Amino acid sequence: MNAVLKVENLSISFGGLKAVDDLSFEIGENMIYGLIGPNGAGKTTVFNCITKFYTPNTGHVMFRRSANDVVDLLDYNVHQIIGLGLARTFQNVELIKDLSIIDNLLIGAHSQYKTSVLQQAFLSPSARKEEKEYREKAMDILRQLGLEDKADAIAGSQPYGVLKNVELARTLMSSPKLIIIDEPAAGLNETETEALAKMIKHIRDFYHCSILMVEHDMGLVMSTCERICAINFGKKLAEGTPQEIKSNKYVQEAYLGKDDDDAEN
Amino acid sequence: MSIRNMKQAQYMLFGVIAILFPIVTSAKGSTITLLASIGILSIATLGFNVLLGYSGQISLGHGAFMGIGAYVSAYFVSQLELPFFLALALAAIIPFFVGFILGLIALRLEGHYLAIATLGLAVVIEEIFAEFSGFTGGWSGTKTTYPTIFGYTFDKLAVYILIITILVILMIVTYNFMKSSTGRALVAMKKSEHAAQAMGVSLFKYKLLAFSISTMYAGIAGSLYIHFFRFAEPKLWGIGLSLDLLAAAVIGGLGTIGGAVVGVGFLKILPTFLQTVPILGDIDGLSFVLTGISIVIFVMFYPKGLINLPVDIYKKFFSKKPTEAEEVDL
Amino acid sequence: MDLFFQNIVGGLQSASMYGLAALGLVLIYKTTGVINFAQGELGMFHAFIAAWLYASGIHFVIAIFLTLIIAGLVGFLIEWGVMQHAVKIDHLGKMIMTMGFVMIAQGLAPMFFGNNPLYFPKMIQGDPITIGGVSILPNTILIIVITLSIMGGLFYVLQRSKWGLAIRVTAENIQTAKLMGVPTRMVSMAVWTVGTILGALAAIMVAPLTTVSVTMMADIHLKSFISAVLGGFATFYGPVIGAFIIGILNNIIGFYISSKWATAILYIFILGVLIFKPTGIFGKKFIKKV
Repeated sequence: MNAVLKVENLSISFGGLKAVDDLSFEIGENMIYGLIGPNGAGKTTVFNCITKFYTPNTGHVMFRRSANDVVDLLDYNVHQIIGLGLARTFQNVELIKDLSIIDNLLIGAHSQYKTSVLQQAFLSPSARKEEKEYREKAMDILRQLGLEDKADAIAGSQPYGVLKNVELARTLMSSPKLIIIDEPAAGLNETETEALAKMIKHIRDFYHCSILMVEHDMGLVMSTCERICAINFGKKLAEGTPQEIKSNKYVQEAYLGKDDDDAEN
Repeated sequence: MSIRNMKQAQYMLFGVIAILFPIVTSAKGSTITLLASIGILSIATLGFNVLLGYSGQISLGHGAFMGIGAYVSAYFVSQLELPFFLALALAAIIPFFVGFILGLIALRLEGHYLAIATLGLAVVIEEIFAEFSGFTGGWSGTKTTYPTIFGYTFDKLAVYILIITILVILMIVTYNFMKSSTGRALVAMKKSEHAAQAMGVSLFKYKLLAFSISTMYAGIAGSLYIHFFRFAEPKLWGIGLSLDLLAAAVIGGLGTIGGAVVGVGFLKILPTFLQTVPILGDIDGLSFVLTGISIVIFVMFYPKGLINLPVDIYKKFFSKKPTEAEEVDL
Repeated sequence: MDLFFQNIVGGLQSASMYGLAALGLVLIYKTTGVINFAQGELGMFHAFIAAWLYASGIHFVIAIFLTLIIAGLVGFLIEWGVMQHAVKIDHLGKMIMTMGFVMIAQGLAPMFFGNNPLYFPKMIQGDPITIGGVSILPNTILIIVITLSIMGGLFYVLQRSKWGLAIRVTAENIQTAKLMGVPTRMVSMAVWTVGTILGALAAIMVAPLTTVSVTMMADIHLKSFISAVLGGFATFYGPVIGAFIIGILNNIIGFYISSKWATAILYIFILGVLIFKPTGIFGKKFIKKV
């Protein structure tokens, strides 16, 4: 398969409610992909299924870790996902408020660390080398995002906009092939959203990864995403380029409501 | 890492002062005993803090693990006549594995299950220790000697110095791994399990690691206890001791390293202090009540703990700068 | 065979005590999310009050009633004076706070009542009577009857009354309950009051069997937790049923194997339960919202 991520027939129910219904879509290499839908459409649920925070009832989530290695994410536990090359952010920005910005980034690299507790306890050369390496990588990423002077600031003291960027930066620490972002524009104003759009494109180009974005802000989606999947009630409405999605009548219906012919008369 | 070196120096300086203090002041035997108790309990509390302060798990059974360490150590030195350091190592390793097994059972669920499982251990351990009298000397207790290292038999003061040395080493070692990826994983796990999992932290693995490390520290403390006091009986290792560790960790400052020593200091010195006060000294159980109240007050109003008190007082009253959120003092 | 039934009856008595305590535990847990680790020690403290009142010449029935009223007051004060102000503290912190209460209770007992164990009489004196080959003390029958009545009463209130509904809704989902106008604050106060009374009652029942001392409740306290783990924290009736199982097991093991090892064996048993059915017999698994 050529795609980086291929969701196949994904379904999950909670009690009697089918939150995601036979959903399939595909994300290509170095692509920015959008998942949109009205409130309650099931977007975050899809997210959580892909990243194994929920266990779907049916379906497959095929992920291409490298040129010849395709795995089904559903075979793995939640904490193994990042090691496979898929990093995510959270809607509510789950940074560790008591730690510094750079420490938060270093947590992002956790899955890449190879030294054991014992080595770390006694400051073995390999432990020190590893820590130094990842610290440099973290500073590098912070520099790219213009945050290097905040490296030692405590996360809890920083404004929301900065925290969102830090969470995004954190995903880069594990050198992911696919980054999943949950509503990156939430709580941002227009200027900040524009900067965010630039940053997302930069990440795709500079780090050669794909990005899956769940988002409400249509401006951001339309200006950054190369392909979009629109869902409602857990079911796929349409998949295609921004133009195709914009003009799709099911999508329009979902967002704007059914056109009442009688009302016009 | 200059901060790390500063911290190492701080801990070593503390160690030097602690060792010199009784020598310089020609302290009485009872003072050395008090200081040694503080040192021993600090080691156990340090481990307990890794569990509670950093990983957010509660154990009510750490007294039992101290007991295991004590009996293991005494047995190997007095019955099997093994060298002391080997016995100490075993006193660290065996509780590590017992904790590991208990953790395997109890840690797959929410925190209160571990608390309950360890509560059970605390309640039944006394009877278990009494039963294995070949190993523990039963109800009448077991005796052992001051350690003999390289043919030189320690005296009371020397054991005290050994205790402080081990305490400082453990403080440095704990600081090292808490400031590394392991420590960050533990903190992340306490603060946000979702974020931790998304970052690749297996909650079960790290809870298990934290628990086993903490029981290992308790075992070391137990070994040092019995080789200082040269006697132990099953009654010592029950829930009272476990609650003491909890109190010391909370009052001293959860999630800090120096807090372990400060908390134990508070715990141990309080009764001694109360005894000197005329009327209060005669009231039984007052130190228990005050300690319990302190736990509640610190949790509710000052979770940073006593160790951060001087820093905060300084900032509030003496510093002109606006109070910025600062990293908790490790 | 008679001996076997003898042990069942004895087990029912044990079960009564564990059950009352376990019910108090789960009532507070399900509605406020707090595991009250001080349940046993508070009971112990109240048993001391009862014993002291009795020793001061008050008729023991009145002493019991006074104590239960005091226990209710203490529970109410703990909630109103302390727990209410700790809403922002996470569950871990609240658990730690209850451990602080343990130390406070352990300190207050000798402070007020001295270091020596006190005596408290059985509620009904009298020789054992024989029913169907089984010899039972009247006191035992009374304990079982009182416990079943109280539990029956509580469950009736829970299922049939408006208050019970308020408690059940709060236990199910406190946010929703608040949104629907359920007086969750009063529910908190009610369950702490009732829970503490139940703990005190369990201690009063134990008192004649072990004398009133600082360590009297340790064993029962643990077994009430074991009952709750066995029955699962998900329901109100689970821990009670768990208590009956544990109570009977306790006496049977105590008789047929060894009484001093009964607790240890039950402990190993519950570890086994944690391995195979960790949420308990009636437990339900929750999917946490991410």
